[in-house]
Amino acid sequence: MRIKNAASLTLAFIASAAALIGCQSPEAAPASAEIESVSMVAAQKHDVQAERRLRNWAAQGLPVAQRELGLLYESRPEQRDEAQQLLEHAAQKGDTEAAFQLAEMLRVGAPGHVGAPDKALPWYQQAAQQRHAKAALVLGMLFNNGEGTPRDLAEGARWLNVASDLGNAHAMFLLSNAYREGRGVAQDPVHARKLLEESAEHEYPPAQQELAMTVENGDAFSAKDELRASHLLKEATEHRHNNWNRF
Amino acid sequence: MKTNLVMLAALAAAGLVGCGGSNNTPATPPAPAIPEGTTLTLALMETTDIHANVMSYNYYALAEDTSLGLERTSTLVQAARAENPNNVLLDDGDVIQGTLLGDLQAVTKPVACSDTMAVHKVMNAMKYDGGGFGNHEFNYGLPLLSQITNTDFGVTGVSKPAGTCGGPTFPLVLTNVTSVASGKPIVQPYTLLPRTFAATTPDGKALNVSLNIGIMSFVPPQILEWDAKNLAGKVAVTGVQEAAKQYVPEMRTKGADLVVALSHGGLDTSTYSPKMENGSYHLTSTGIDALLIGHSHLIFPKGKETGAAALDPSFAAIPASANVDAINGFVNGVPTVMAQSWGRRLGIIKMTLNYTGGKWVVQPTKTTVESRGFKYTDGTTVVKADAAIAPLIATEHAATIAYAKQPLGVTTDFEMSAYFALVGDVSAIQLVNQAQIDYVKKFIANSTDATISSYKNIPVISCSAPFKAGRNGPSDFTDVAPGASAAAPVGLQVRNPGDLYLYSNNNLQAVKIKGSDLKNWLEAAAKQFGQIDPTKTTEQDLVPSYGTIYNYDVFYAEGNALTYQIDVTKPAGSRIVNVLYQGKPVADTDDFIVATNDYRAGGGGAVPGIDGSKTIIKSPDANQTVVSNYLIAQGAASGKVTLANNGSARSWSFVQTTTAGPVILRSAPGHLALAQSSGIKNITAESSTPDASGFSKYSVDLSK
Repeated sequence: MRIKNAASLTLAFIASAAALIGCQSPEAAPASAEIESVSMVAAQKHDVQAERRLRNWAAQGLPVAQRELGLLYESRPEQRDEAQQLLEHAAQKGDTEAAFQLAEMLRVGAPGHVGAPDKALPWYQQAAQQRHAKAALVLGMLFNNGEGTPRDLAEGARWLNVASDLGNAHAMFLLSNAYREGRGVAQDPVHARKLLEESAEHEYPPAQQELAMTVENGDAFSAKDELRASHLLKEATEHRHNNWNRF
Repeated sequence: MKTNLVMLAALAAAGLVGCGGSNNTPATPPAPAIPEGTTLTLALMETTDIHANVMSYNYYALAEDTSLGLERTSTLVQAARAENPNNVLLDDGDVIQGTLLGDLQAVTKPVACSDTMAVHKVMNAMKYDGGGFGNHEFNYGLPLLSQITNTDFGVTGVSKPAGTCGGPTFPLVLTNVTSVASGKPIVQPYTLLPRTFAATTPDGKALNVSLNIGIMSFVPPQILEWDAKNLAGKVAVTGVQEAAKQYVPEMRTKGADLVVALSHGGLDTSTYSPKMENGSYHLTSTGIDALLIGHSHLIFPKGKETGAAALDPSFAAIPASANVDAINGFVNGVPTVMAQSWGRRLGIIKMTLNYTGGKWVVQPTKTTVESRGFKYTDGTTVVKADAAIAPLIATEHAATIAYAKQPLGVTTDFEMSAYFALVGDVSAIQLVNQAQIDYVKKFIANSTDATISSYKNIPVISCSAPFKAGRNGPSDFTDVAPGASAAAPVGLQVRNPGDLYLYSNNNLQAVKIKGSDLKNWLEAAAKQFGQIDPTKTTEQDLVPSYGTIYNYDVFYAEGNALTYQIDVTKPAGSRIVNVLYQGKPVADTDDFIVATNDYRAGGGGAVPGIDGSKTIIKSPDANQTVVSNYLIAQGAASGKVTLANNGSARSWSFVQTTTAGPVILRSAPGHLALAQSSGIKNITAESSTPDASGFSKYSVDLSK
């Protein structure tokens, strides 16, 4: 309760500060890319001026700035509540990434904040409906695993399909498994293989490995091809260095 | 001959520019008056994502691989130079990391300041004109990168060794990375390459003209995530478009006739964000003349050789409105090339410039783009290696092969094999599980993350599979240290852990699961067995196929505290019984942390519920490295690993069943004695002749 009050006080202060600055240097609303650039400077260089600019823009109600400031605050445990509030504001104004990040924050939780997948679900839905691929992926997994919602394999597969169509390689792989095994969808080995190829092409590590294993032995869809298998594994090995925390 | 002289002069000039930084206007020779309408044809050549593939060689298999390697790219370069006397050769980054050679020279035995990395030696000999950076350049940290590029980054805590260190003799540029401390670019953001090229006047006469080719280079902003430990707080990354817009006008002012972007990123045509990984597409609006791209290891435009691979689906899927011509190689009208990876291709943008209104203007209709591969001549013949390359790095090549065979400083008194892994032998698996458990326990104990450290009272167990167990025939089984005995232990080599943990692509990951998930997981693993009908009198295969044997996870807890049984007479999905942890039945609600790899944790093998959502630790370390390090640590502590401590804790067994007919396990011939000496009691006999594929049939007695 106390923290919440402190947070709203800070916001009120920011708003008045922003109003002042607004008088001094009137400027047109910045483009999203500009706000994100400033946010990168604030995060990477711990640049206080950049953070101040973000705060001003956030106080003006610009959703991209609210989201970026929220993400910056989220990295500081003592500002978690402020972060949540900012992300909520941005998401309510339709910012897709903010809705997704808010959902992640709620689902995963933190020490002292129990993860709440049920509370996260509507925000994932908002983001996924606004074509956020990873939000659709997580929705698929929540429905498949019955977390925050009753287990529903058909609904899980439907969301994985949305994520996959939006280019999410992790979803392509899980959906490939679903089609191979007929989980939540009618079994379809041809489509399963197509999705596996696509996921490997997008560098999802398990897909690269599985496809390598598959072509190493050959199957109904492709002849044995040891060179391709070795190249897929070589590719996967090399990408290990950036894929360790990518998906 | 003439070409060579021009190249020498060009290199000398490039060297000067390289040392002087971007603030120097290049020393341009007095320019002759160029008549309007004079034309000039030149080739921009690109390599990208070489990843330390210098020789056409595979250091994991210790065998030649003629499908890759700079020694063959060099042949492509020679041919392209012969076709295009006016040329520059540029590289788009991801040069130093990717093979055992790269790891050896960067980590195991880092090159000295006085020496030059093998890949750079060869690039110097190939007379590159300039190069950019890729994300993987940062994998080994800034101090080494500073040394091997002979560049002072101006980053706090990173100092280049005094004097001149060995590195590329061609200039390097990097446009979108700055030092947090100084606010300045860590490498010159661009340079101008002054070249003298042969042009043709409108009346057909030859005329030598000077041309300044400006180059810049971009890396994905994600380097700050992928190499956070090397870079956080030290460098900042700017979006590619912002960085280009900052410098292109300056380059033009300083006399750049052409501006070439070396962009280490693919083509993402979605709305621009400075945070995007593959932002190259968005450079086309910044005033550049040519775009050399990479990072995604693809071929762009589609190969022109006979039998070329189809256009990559990701390019085929780009909407027409994005204006990407993937057949001719133009992105929003800017000629664009991507030369795949590992030296397998050479990008060639052959452009014609027309001198119009006092400046050189690119003629798009007279510009062609090609991503040329080793088989470009006729679609089947692979180009020969340039014989001049191998001698340059013969020492490093030999050292890498020797490294692969180097002893680890630990001996073993038992044969670690996978011949009988499917009937309970864990001699090739237990060590992997022990290494993984050790790693995860330490990771949790040492974590500064409050969530991770809150898991310290949850039991850590591990699983691993017999990866090398008959998939590719009877010779394809793990068999490390044959002949080892307590009396005569055998030393382990760097390559042996490779066999213990076959896949070098796997990273260690850990998942937090419930007892119910564990049971589902065990059921998924037990699908590898055929369903045995005890009443059948005919022969039954215990394991009908080895195709997906890497999914046969064997679980283990320290002190063999986790045990379980498999009833192969039951249908798949209901075979697991008697799952005990510390002697007590595992409840569905019990918590466990399982050490595994990124393949399984991320959904590989389709284990229900294990889909990436339960992953709590994503380690940057390879499972192979985790096993190697564990072995080295065991070596340092006691000098050896033993059957008693590291190879005989059998965590699982079959529910005993008497069968009316024979049950068989197919495995490599000639190992019955090993089964008996290792106490694999349920293997009772070996067939006298192998089956059609060369496997022996071993009799399995499920009542034992």
